[in-house]
Amino acid sequence: MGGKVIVVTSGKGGVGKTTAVANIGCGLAARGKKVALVDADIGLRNLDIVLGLENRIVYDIVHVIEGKCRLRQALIRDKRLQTLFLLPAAQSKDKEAVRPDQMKELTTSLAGEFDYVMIDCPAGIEHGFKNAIAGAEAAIIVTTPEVSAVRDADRIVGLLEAEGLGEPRLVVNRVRPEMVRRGDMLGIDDVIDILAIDLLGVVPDDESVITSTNKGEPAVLDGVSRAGEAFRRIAARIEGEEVPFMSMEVPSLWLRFKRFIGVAR
Amino acid sequence: MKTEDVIFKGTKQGLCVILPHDDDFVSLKGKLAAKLESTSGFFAGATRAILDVGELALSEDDMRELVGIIESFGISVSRVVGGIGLSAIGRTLASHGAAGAPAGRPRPAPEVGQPAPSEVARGDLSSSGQLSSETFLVRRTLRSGQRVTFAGNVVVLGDVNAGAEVVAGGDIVIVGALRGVAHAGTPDNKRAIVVALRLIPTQLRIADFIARPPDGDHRAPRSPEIARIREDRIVIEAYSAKKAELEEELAWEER
Repeated sequence: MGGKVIVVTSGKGGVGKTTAVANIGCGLAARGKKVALVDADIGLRNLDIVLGLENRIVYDIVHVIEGKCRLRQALIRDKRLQTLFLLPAAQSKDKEAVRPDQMKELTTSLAGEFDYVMIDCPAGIEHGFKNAIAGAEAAIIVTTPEVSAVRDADRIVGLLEAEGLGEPRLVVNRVRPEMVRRGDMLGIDDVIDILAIDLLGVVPDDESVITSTNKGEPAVLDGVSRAGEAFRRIAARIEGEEVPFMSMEVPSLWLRFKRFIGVAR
Repeated sequence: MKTEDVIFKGTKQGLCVILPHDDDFVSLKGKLAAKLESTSGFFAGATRAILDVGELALSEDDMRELVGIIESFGISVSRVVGGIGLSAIGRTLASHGAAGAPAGRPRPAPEVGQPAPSEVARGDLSSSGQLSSETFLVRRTLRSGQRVTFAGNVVVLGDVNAGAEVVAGGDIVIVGALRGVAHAGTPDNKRAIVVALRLIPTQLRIADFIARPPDGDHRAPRSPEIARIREDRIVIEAYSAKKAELEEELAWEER
């Protein structure tokens, strides 16, 4: 009984892949699933920092592939969630240190032990991208509502199709509803219209993500964060639940008051 | 003196191949191969060479590739000199008769203002019986992804940033901030120490002990500190030259 190997990719850098992997991974683990997060960004590792696990790294993915340690030794257990594990990338090597077939073998053996294996793909469409998607059976594409990010995401959809990874699902990150309303930002509908893939989630632009990323505490574990709530819903959808999309509007004080006294929801 | 081109020099120990400071590895390989090609007849008698990579930051694989190019011309590389961020090269090159190589400094033109001509990872880190008393001086800041490995002591005149790593068979002294990983006394020298002006490491390792700062710890030391093994754990204390001297004396008396 194998787990599901999901690659999180975007093409463009800086749209929030690593943040998405950390938050969705934590979200799934918080639901009691066994989750392995694999940082495939060899040479520019970040996932360990976002999870606050940097100082626990002794072995990394390249050590595993070179046979210098066992897979179990390199897996770092999260400090908050007992069922979440990280396989960190190497920092002093580069993408060529790993071949796609080795990556595939690695994710296959991880899938034997975990319910979900999530791969944090590096930006770009070169060697690192090919490594990251080699062992994946599903893909999540992260984009922001910007023309350049959507253009790159479109290229990725095409490349994934060519690799037999059809039907990727989309996460639109850093949406600012007031800008969409003013017509200064692409709306979700515009993005879906261009990419024509299934929407997995919409994450509002939220300053708390920046602070939580710096602190190494994913927003999904913060009950108040709106982005965290969006990621929780994404985790639920990955599990096959039907969850309504979050309203992007920040509730007004009046509405929050009405909710508080129970006359609105 | 930064050279533009690959330079060959004849020394008593054989041929010395000096690489130019070229950050583009592909062009560097091309230059080396072209130079060897164009002068292959000239060096027909040379069987051993020393590769001097100067200040280049090369990975192990890059280095193997360069050695491979030279060896494809029938010249064996007895050792590699210089280089930043190298590790374990000495081991792979040892098979080419490095043991028989003279201990003298092979660098033909020592440069003022450059790090001392030291061999990176000379000797085998796994044979701790004979600890190297040599010291490798790094006169720059080590940034994320850079790694220095040396069988003796390592002194860094600069910072060791998070994501960078210093691995030494002996002591590690950082005249700057240690934010990355330092591993002194590898593999099993428990007397090794780590000293830094600002000791705020991601992780500290001495011999086979590993320590990391506790979660949520944001201490910012203002004065130099020293890490060492005491009673089977890594402890950090304020560094005091006087105290260190005294302890060294006591340690001698104990013996």
